[in-house]
Amino acid sequence: MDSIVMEVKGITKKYRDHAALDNVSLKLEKGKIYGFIGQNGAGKTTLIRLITGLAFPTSGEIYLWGKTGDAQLQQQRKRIGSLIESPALYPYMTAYQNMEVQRIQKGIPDKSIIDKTLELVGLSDTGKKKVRNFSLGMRQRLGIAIALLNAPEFLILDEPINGLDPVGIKEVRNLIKKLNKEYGMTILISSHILEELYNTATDFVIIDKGRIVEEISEDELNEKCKQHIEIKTPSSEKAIMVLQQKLSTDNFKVMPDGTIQLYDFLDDLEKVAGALAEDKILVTGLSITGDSLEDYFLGKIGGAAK
Amino acid sequence: MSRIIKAELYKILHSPAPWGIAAGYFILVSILVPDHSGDVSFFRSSLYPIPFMIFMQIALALSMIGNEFDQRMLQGYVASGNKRFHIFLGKLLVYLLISTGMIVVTLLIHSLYGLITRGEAIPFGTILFLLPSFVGICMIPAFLAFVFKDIGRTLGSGLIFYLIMIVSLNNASISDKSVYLPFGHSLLAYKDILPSDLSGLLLIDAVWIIVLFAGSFLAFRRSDLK
Repeated sequence: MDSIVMEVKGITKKYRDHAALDNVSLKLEKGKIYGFIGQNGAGKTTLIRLITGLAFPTSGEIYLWGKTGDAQLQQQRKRIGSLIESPALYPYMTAYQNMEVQRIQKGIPDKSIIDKTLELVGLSDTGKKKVRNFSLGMRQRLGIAIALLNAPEFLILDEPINGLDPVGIKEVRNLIKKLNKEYGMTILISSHILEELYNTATDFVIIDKGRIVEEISEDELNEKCKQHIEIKTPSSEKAIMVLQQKLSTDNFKVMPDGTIQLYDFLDDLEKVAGALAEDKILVTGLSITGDSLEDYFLGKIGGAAK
Repeated sequence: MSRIIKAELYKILHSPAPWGIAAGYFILVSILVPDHSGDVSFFRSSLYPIPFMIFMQIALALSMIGNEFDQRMLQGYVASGNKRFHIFLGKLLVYLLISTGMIVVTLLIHSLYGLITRGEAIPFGTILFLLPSFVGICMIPAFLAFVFKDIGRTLGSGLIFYLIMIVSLNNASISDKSVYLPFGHSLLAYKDILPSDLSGLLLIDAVWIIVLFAGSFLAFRRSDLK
């Protein structure tokens, strides 16, 4: 059961008549980095707030490491680190003092964890500088440091790269990958920067209008987005023989509807068309296709909106 | 819960706001006390401003509770797996310690000044008796902060409460009604018209404290935090 870090079953969250989440079910497996994708107001932060106990669902159940119920969830939340929207910091304190408040309230006995964590996020040299004098990027890093303070098994980062410069974004990305690889930390990151999520996540959850539209792994996503020649024909078996015998390729896939996705000859569509025509195979569609990531996500979100 | 209290005390030690408010409270009361120190003892003179100084308790509740909701500090406590009751109690206890403490310390300092300069006795018994009413007074801004969970609405409702209180204190029949109000008890003590049997007043204070405590916790217990 520990392989499932978090599960929600039929979660609905209503604010008056508006359903911010509508019958959402989702499982997050241990050791993966989940990219949580959705437009503003799609329900990302609402779901994160339910998981972290900041809000209560109207209906449905939340499980953390297989445990449910208020008391059990509270207990399990000690294994979570979170940064939700902008970091909650005391402006009149230093980075160290902010971390110290969190260390005390989280009941972590080892004080040295503060220096180690500040070093991990590149804030070890801030000394007596008050947080009110920090840049947006420094505050964001300190927020991440606070989330990491209790060495969480499950890290939730809501828009963690907001305000970071390109170097900072790269550092956070490398940090997330390191935490995942070295400590097996399960990570849920929501961001509207799709390119960055693609570079970081191993799995993606797409949410729109309070509903999960799709859960997809990085490999599946790559597969779906891969450029290919799409051959539509009522005689797919004959077409396969032509591809194998005349064009000497096995680099294709037959989809359940009989459409063939050919990954070779992308720069020589005429050769494929000619080979099929020679054997008098009726072709109803022949085109090079494949989405960019952005197109794919927008297609999914647009599709859900229809 | 001890973790929450420790964290709150650590914050208090490093935050300028509560100290500034406490110092401001002492200075303002000290300005008001000489107005009444003719044939009235320094202790009784320093009781008079207590209801009028509630805006300082409101400011403290804004800083220690409302601001913590606004800046999502309390949310961090919840997300870390602390029980909401422990968070509530830890937060409230430290707030009450500071807010009630600044009333009591101010009273004691002025009483001590009366003892040194005019040989007035320090009425520890009366201070002890009034302590629940001070807690009741300080619970009102805390209640508003836990209900509204921000700075703006807590301040707005606090000011409305303050205006109502000031108007009610100017009412001719306030001495009769003061019995039922926690902020009225210090007024009765100032006028030296406390009833001989104090158990009724203590019961009223206890009811106020319990109602405001329960109301504050119920407002926080199952509420959605932004």
